[in-house]
Amino acid sequence: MIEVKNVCYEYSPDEPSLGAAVEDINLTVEDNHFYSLIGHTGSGKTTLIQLMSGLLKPTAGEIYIDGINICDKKIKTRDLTRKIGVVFQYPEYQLFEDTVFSDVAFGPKNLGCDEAEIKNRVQKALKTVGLDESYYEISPFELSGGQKRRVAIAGTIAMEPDILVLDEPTAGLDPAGRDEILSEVKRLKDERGISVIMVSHSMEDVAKVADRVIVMNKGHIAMTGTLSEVFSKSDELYSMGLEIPQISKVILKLRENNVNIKSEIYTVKDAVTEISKLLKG
Amino acid sequence: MIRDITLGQFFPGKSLLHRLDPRVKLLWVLVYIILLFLVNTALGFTLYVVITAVLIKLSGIRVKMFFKGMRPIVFLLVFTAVINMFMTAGEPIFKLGFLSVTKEGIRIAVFMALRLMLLVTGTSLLTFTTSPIMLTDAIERILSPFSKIGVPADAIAMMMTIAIRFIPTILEETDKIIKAQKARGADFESGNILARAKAMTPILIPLFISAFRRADELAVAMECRCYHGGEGRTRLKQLKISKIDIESLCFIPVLLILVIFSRQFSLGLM
Repeated sequence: MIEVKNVCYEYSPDEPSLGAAVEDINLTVEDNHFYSLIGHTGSGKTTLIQLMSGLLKPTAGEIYIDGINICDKKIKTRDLTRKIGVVFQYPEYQLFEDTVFSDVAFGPKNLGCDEAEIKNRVQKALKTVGLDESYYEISPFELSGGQKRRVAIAGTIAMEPDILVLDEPTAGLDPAGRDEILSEVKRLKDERGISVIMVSHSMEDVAKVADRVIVMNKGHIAMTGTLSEVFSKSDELYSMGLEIPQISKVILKLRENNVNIKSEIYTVKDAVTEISKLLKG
Repeated sequence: MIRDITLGQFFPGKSLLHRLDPRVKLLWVLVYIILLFLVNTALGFTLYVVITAVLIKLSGIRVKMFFKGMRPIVFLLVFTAVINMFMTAGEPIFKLGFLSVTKEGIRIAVFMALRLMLLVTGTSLLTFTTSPIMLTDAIERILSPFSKIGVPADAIAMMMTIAIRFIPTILEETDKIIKAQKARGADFESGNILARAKAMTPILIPLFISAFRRADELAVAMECRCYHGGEGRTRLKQLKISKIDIESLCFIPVLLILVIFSRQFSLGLM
């Protein structure tokens, strides 16, 4: 569980005119939930996840992970990596080893795992992202963009954190690649009972996997709640430059035209079920 | 830490120093540096400090920025001052064990420190008031006569422009990679030198790969826009020597005379 209390972060405290990147952040991330962090470009999403993972120290406020104050100077980023694992935007650019296996093994090795444990973790992680043994000895630089992304994500999964943070994991991937990565992460969350925080710009992706949504606007947390709580406030989302899923717009229009359909529909799959129910009935 | 580098920083403005032709400024910095090494008396240094202070005032840039630029050379300053103080032969003032501080030593130490500080301030004055593009334009124009003997002036200028342009980009990229590897538990701080050097591989390899990728992409983008070298290329902003440039050039002989004059006046000890 992560508790963020009154956190503020300024990139250049020398120049107050630039303002804070995030301000007055209060947030609780509970166990075993799939969170989605949404917000307009520059709203402070990336800063917030870097704060939560201990890569940035807040200028004010405190952050606790499982009751441990991570702002404490004695806490090393390395010890935090067991609890919280971050996959940054375009993580494929961090690959450096000569084989896929050894690149994924970098994290567990840093945690001090022994040979057998490393092997076990790497195998599990690569299986989670859908890469079989034939990839182990290939150079990560020979892979396609989507496959590189998977290797990089596996690199963090292999550290087996309690909370997995993904910053736009599907940016720049084709639709099939997006869906695969999303469902793999969702499955991982369900199997291991970990929490996931995913930054995303695609409301469709959010609707597919998340059960909780955190909305950021201009460095503040604008809303938090379940998927339907947040998506029901479409006007507020519009005012922050955000949207609701396309299909939800269609449903809203249908309701405006006196079609008797429930409003809490955010995925095409749900819409199909509801509409066919309506047509039959 | 990585963001604190002031090297090559430019502060836009409209001061006299900003308006000077970059070629003139380049020449001035050259003269400033050469004459600085001719100065060897207290009078000469006083003169130099006053001139530099006036120039800083004229540039309209906060003095704080110049001190910030001096931060990286603090170690060098202290080191040379200490070495000079103890290692110069001459009349001893006091003894510290087997080391003795000499009058000549103190003199040389103070002068050397002043010289280094003025050197940094003088060159900072150039980079703070001249945009990198202007600077490379100036270098291109200065080198252009040599293109007849096969010096590719335009290519050199383009390379410099690109290199300067990519400093912030690469710094940002480095910062990102460091964070990503830290998130995977990489440790850059502990261990001996060898272990620390080895810990750099996860940063350097991705950095090199991305630098090559960027270079390749940039080359393609430039070719797509029909870049084919400097031949026949015209400029949006033509460099022109104006009245203030000529006036400022007239001060060069004045400074030269003042410096030579100051060499004749050693005031007592100094």
